[in-house]
Amino acid sequence: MLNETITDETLWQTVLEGSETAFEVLYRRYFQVLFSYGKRIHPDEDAVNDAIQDLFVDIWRSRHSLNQAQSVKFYMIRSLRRKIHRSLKPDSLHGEEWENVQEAVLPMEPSPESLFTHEEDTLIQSEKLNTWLSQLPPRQNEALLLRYYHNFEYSEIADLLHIKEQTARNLVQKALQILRKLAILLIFIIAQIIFHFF
Amino acid sequence: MKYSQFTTSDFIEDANFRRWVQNPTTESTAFWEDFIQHYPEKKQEVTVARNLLLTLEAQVEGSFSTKANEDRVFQQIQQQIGEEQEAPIRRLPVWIRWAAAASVVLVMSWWLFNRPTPTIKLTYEVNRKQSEVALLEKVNDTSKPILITLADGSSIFLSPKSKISYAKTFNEGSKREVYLSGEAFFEVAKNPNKPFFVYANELVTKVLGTSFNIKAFPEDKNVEVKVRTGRVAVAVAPKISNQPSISTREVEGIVLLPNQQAVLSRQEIRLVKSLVENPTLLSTTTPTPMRHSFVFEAAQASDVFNLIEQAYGIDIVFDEEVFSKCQFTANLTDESLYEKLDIICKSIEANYQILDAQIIISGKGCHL
Repeated sequence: MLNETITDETLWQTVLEGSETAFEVLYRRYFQVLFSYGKRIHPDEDAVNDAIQDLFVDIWRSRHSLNQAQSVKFYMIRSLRRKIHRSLKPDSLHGEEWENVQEAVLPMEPSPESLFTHEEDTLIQSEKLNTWLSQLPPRQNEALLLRYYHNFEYSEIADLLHIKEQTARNLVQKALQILRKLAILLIFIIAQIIFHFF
Repeated sequence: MKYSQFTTSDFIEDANFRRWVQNPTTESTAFWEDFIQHYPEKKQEVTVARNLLLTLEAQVEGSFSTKANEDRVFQQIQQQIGEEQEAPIRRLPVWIRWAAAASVVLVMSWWLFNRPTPTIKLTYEVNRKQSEVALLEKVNDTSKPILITLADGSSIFLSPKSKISYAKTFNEGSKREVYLSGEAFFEVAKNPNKPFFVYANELVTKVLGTSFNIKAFPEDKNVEVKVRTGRVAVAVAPKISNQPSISTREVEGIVLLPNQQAVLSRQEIRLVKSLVENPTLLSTTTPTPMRHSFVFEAAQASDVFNLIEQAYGIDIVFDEEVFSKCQFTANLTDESLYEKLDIICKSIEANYQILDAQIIISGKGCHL
């Protein structure tokens, strides 16, 4: 009951008031999302686990001094991101200066012909989309996920990635353009398959 | 509709659209299906947008960890938190500490004075076990009351879903004892040498010869005894009356007269005497009917009250001097007790209230 109906904000407030039940519900609600997000920044699962552990211990320990979060999810994602980056080696911290980094070009745009070779199997097609997605520069992929999976505002994405809001928009739109092209191709393929069967 | 002009990117950007793809509800699904019906040219944009969002979702969920890992991390969190909580709490402000101390005292004293009586519930089954002789049991599975006649001439109307037990050798011992679960109306044959006892949950009812009703279903919060005729004594069962929290009133019991009832609250073991809901005229229940006329003509208020007192066997408390100048004219033959009181009090500008099992009349009196 607590898990399904209660809003993030109420849950958070209840945690701050010292409810251990709410604390566990909050953990269960966010662990997988945080884990998945963390793994994207740092491939080492143990480091991600440690960062999540740290994050929740921090929340509990400082619950008397924490404020009502504007967005609970944003607060946690941002804290996790900081923790993971802090745990990374100092030299890789320079990777934070994304504003100046040239966006890598998508490794290879697949040719339309190559798509038609697996037309029998729609599962393979959505796998394909998935592959392209993971072939996006990590930065673009992250921005895309933050916007369209986590539903963050561009201002929040800019805050998280330490970039300007307009840059965040561009990042997302660029990734989307590439993907959309591919997705439209996919639609044609799927249509072909359906046509083929009926 | 603005959506009719949307591109794929617009759909993906739209928070409502994303909400539908991520957490579809019957309403949102109906909305978007309806949209595509009306704007079939937008089907491709919607499909592409939806596929993209679903692919993103699949990508995130594809890198979820195992449940075992989730549980393990939580255990470690709990461990780490647990260690810290063993350290003395120093950060609490002084006033909170005082407040905490005060609330502990409050809770403690509340517990001391109001601690729930150790709930030793006496049930039909427990009561039955105290019998030293073999028992007969009658169970009413029907939907109507059944009549049971006992060896001493007493009769019992046993209500549906109720049962009763009594000795096979009833009327041979020094007392007559009956165990009840549910509801029954008793008409007890007079025998001053052999008192008649009814054990119903935590309540014991003792009578010599009279008629009364007991309601004591196992799941009921209360046990109720209503007296029609004669005198009835009720008390808490000896098995629980030795508990310190029970007052002497409950242990020694109270005497009930006709039209009175006793209600035992099983949780608090408190016995309360009051009037039955619809007091009946004694003349309808006594063997030798007394005739009471409720036709009053310029009758003295005190006479009216005295007559009602007699007819219903209910104490009416009033100040004779105050109401001495009040006169009353009416025919109250068909009215119930409370209707009679209403009419009388209205005409003499008085009020009545029911306290315990008495009716208290108050007012300023009348001026001729």
